[in-house]
Amino acid sequence: MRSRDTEFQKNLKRFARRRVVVVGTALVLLFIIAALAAPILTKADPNVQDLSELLHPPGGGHLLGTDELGRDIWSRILYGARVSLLVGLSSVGIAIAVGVPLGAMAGFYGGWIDEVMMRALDVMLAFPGVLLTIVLVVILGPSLRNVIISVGVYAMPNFARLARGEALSIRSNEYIEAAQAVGAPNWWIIWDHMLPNIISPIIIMGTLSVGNAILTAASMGFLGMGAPPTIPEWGAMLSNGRKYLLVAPHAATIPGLAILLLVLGLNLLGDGLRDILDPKMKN
Amino acid sequence: MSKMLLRRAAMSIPILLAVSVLVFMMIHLMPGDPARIIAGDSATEEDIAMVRTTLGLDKPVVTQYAVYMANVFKGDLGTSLRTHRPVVDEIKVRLPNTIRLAAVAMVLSVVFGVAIGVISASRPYSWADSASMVGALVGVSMPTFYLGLMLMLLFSVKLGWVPLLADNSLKSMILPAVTLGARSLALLARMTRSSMLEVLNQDYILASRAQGLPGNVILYSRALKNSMTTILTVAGLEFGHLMAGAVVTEQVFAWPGIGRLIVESIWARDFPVVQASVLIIAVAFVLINLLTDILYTVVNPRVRFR
Repeated sequence: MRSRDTEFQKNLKRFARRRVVVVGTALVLLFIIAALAAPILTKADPNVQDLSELLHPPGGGHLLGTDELGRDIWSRILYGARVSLLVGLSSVGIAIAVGVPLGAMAGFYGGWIDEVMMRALDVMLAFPGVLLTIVLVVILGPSLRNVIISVGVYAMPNFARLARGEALSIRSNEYIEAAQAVGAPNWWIIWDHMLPNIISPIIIMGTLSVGNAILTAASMGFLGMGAPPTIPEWGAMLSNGRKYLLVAPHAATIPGLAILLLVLGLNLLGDGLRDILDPKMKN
Repeated sequence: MSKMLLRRAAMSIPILLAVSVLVFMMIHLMPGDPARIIAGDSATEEDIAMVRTTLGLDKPVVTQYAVYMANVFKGDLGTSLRTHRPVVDEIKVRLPNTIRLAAVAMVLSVVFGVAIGVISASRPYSWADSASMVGALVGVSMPTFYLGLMLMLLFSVKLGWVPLLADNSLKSMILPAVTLGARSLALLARMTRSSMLEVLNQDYILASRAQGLPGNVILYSRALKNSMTTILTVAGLEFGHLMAGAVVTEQVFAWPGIGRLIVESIWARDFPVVQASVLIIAVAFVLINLLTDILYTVVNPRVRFR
């Protein structure tokens, strides 16, 4: 127990020594606090329109100004952090929950199961970038829930491939053979013996994917295929604000900056975690 | 080697078929009656019945798919519900604009991405390296549409250097291409740096240093040359992503490409155009990946002589 503690402390020190990682962690924490403490940090309702205060610049009664419907942007940024974090975390959660068991099974069983699963992933990967998400949102219909599902499906193949690769590499290890020899069922071997061994690359990829998922979801919001207008979603806020870029640039720039800072924080954190937990993945 | 290439090429066929099935099934997978979805909310029962017979939606799905594919192979991608023109004609106008934009973005990202990566790798952990890598990370974290708007605000609105809207001139292409290519540029810079650093740690580089070869020769004719296959492979794979990324970029700059066509058609519920455009991008992506793999095999002696 003691040696594990010191290893953890060593990692923590290594973590704290890297300034960029500290900056990343601080940024992410800042947004988590903003999301959780939104009702304390602002009294303004993110959806209340004040038609006498349209596109008010930052300052005065509105810290970050108001949008084209007179809604308080500070309040919408705070509540928007909830939406972005929810979308990022739940879509990556879906991707991990579906992708990792599928990938681990493909790697563990090999043969036709592996072949079928990998070809199915190839089909999903044939839709580059945001295209698969668009196709799925068109099929499922535009809503926040469907964006989460679509972004989750879009991120899934990466986790499946990672889990498959890791499962393949540990499949022939002696402790797996030993478990098989004593008659442990396959699902138990995958759950109890394989998954704990592939957890650290998945945490790293997960952290880096949350940022990517937030970007993809914001793109959907920007294209008007995301959350309904009553939900303060940063991508949609930017899309609405850009029509007033010449008269009120703050309406578009502030939501954009929020997305950038949160995603940058997550990427810095993910990069740092990777360097500490798995230096092999650095390249 | 030719056997391996043939196998690789053959693997693309089932993927392309599955892609075509998925794209074809788009309307059928939506909840509700496909004919009603296409006809729109305000359509009467007669309109819906007409859509059903005109588009062959009353036939079994397998037959519909067979007809669809037979038409695709004949170069017929259906008729736009919005303009009543053949979808192929719409795509013929839009696709070259997207390819042009993606190509310029590609050239920009390869040239600048590789240059930044080389500078970083030649002075690892210097301030130039740190600044480049932080810049690359910001590039990866930046929402495309935000970058586009900021560039527009600065260079079109404030400085007036480039036109605000696309007019097909090279000048009006600069901002969209930079916006589209920024992410690939950042990825390529990071990739080049790590690939070069790996090569620079090899024994033959140490041997070259021991022979007294100048630093620049080692950097360019040894390290960069050996990293080039990896860099070009990544660049090839990025091209398909650029075509898809154009969906967002074209929307920001009102660029008349296939990405904007997809978004416009989704809003107009013009599904034949959506299906055809998605199919074209996906097929192009699979073929570009195949081509990149083949080129990699041909260029890389380690794979060639296996």
